[in-house]
Amino acid sequence: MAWLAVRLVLSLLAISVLVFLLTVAVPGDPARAALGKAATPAQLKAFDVAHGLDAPLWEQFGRFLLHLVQGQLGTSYASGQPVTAVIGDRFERTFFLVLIAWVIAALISIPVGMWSGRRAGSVADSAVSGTTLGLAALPEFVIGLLLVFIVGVKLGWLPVNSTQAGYATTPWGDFSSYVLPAIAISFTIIPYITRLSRANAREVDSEPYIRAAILRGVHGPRLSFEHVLPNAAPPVLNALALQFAGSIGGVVVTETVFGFPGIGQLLVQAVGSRDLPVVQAITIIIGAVYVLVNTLADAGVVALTPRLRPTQQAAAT
Amino acid sequence: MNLPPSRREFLGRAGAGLAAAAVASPILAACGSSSKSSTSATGSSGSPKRGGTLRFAVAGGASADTPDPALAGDSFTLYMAANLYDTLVRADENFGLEPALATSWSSTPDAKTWSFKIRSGVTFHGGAKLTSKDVAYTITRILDPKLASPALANISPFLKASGISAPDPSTVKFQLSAPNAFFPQILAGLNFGIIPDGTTSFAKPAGTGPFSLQEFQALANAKFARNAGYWRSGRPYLDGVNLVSIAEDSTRVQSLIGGSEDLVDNITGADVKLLAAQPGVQTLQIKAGGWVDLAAWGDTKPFNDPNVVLALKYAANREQIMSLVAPNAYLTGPDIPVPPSDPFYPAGLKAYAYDPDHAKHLVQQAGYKDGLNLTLYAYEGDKLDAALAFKQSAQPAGINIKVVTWPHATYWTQVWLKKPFVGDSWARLHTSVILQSAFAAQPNEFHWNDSSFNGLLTSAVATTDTTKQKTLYGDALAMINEKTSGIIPGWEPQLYGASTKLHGVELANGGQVFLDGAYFG
Repeated sequence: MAWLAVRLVLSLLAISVLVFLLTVAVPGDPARAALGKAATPAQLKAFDVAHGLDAPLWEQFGRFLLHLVQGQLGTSYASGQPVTAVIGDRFERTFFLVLIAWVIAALISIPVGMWSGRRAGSVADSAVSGTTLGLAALPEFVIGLLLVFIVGVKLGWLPVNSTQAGYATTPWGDFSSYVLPAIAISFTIIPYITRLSRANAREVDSEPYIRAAILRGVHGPRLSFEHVLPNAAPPVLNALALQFAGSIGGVVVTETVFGFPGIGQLLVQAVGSRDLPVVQAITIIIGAVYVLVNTLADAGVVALTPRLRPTQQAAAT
Repeated sequence: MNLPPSRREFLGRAGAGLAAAAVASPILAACGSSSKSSTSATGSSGSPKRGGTLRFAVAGGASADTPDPALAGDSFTLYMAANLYDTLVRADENFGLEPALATSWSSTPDAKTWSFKIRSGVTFHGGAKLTSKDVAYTITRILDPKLASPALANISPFLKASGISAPDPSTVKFQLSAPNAFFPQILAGLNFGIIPDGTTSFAKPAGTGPFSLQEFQALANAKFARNAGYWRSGRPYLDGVNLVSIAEDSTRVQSLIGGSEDLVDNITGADVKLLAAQPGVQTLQIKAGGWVDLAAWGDTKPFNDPNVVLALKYAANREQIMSLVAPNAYLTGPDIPVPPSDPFYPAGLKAYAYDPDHAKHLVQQAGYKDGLNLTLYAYEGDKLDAALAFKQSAQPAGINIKVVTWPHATYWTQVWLKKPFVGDSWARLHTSVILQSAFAAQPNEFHWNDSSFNGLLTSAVATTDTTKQKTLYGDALAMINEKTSGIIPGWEPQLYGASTKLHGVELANGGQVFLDGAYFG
């Protein structure tokens, strides 16, 4: 487990370097973006000095890293507020949104994938494959706008936009605002996980031990859940974890479509206004979630797969 | 199947708007025509009713947004400022003034000393009484360069902090450093919303406006409650206003159609058609919201040849350009930054009619036997639309234009005032302000520097005689139309979508939306 922790720290450091280099490479002048078309040269100069932008690049990077290690994410150029205050509740909302999407996706795609995989070649299986392929081909914003139009406007079942989520102090305080964007995000996860579950179930299904179980008279849900699932699960679990992390970074489009007040919406605006500390903070947070979830998933796979457990590995060698 | 309306239909709509304007009070006239029929938002559905919360979805919003009126810049903050605070005077669509926190104002004939009488019995949201001290503090604060208010550039050429005085609790005097007959129009800007003397924090902002701020999260939402003690008696009619930020255009429009929002801003000409086909929604607009232009450096080859400039003007098919820039809702006009509805619009001035043959002849005369090759820079949006449409319209005249789409991020630092031929767009500003900042300021995007023109501007702001002002500005505008190396094909509207139940929304230039008179009927 120790090397997982080392890998975590190294990955975060690498991400920080990359994020810093990418953000300073972005064209555009933060001072001009913050102060506008009418700003005088003196105003622009004062801004650069106030935010340390007149210092050489290596010095800016050093300061950036030092602050990061101290847990400070800097001050927003645009608002002059600490970045942590600017991001504040937004991260919580986004995290909860992606969590709902992820749970929806897991509850649908694993059973459907398993069911379809154990009927490989049937009409039902072809239908599942066709549908998931079609879904995978639809861009996020198309799915989002279709949901807005059909469920929000035509059927009127749920709020057309998710702006009310910002008024609630807790995510469950305005749960209905989360549903449509969560469904939109889950649609980006479902096709892949369904197809992966299907392929794994199919593969496991043809293993000798499953044949043996069937011959022993095990069948139906018991066979699926007690024999196929545990063996088909590890790769799916790993993929699900990656999808969760990917969705945290991928909420940009969905949040913008629904007007959802999360970090994705903030990131788009911060890039537009060249608010580099906010951009850096959000990308580092997304990167950290990615690395963390990945590490947890690796640990989970190890725990679930007997032959990967350290003790047995040691015994085997 | 997204055909533009026939010319007749378009004119019919415009006519309906003008008719409504003629009967309504000057400020209500700012609410333009509805896309549905001749009923305007301020229509005659009886007397205003009390109650209800208005839900208003806004395209703008930034993490830097603050309820400080002096720092308002994007649409979200301007809507907040318009409804939390009052200015001394309020300007309508054509910069006509009506009293707000000042009951009367006057100047010496040289337009150098201005005096404003402050309304009595007005209180701030916290309960404090409004006096001339609050007004003096507000304006002095904006003059501090450290605040970096966007209004600083408008006012600092005319006023120093030492020129502000409050001789008694109901009088504020401004001793200008340079004459300005349109000083009250400057103070009508939303950045000049009056705040209590000594205010430094806007965590719990106090204004005198129709609504008070209950909740605010930058780039997300703002919640307003009715100010029961508002000085315009009976107003506001609404119990509250909820402002939310939705950047995605389709979601904003669908939210209106689906009934989740009552008012949405920043809709496009294409949406006008969409909304016209839906029940329960209408379009509100200010016809001349802003202008687009193609600006060339008049002192640089080939634009320093008058024949080339004239050829460009004849090669612009204004109808075609504007129908691409703002389908369903545009105006065309001569190459001046003042629309026909403005009191300073020179009546006789005509736009150069599209004549590619004559343009071709002028290009030949200028010595470009094989045609003229130009490079035009623009970025995505109205500027690029105008540039591409102009390219097409100029082709038959032997003018070949290469349009370069520049990223928005570096447009203002690397293209604007740096390249000799660019596409640009401007919000509608008062004649005195726009002529100064787009044509007299050095450098400007036309590289236009003419001492007789500058003299006309200086004389116009130094007299309070309106007839004289009109003559001076008329001459200045005619000069721009004929001589500056730019094409101003026309005007784009400021468009809003609204529920047909909503009445009394007052729109003015620069994205001003006043909700004190709004009500559900």
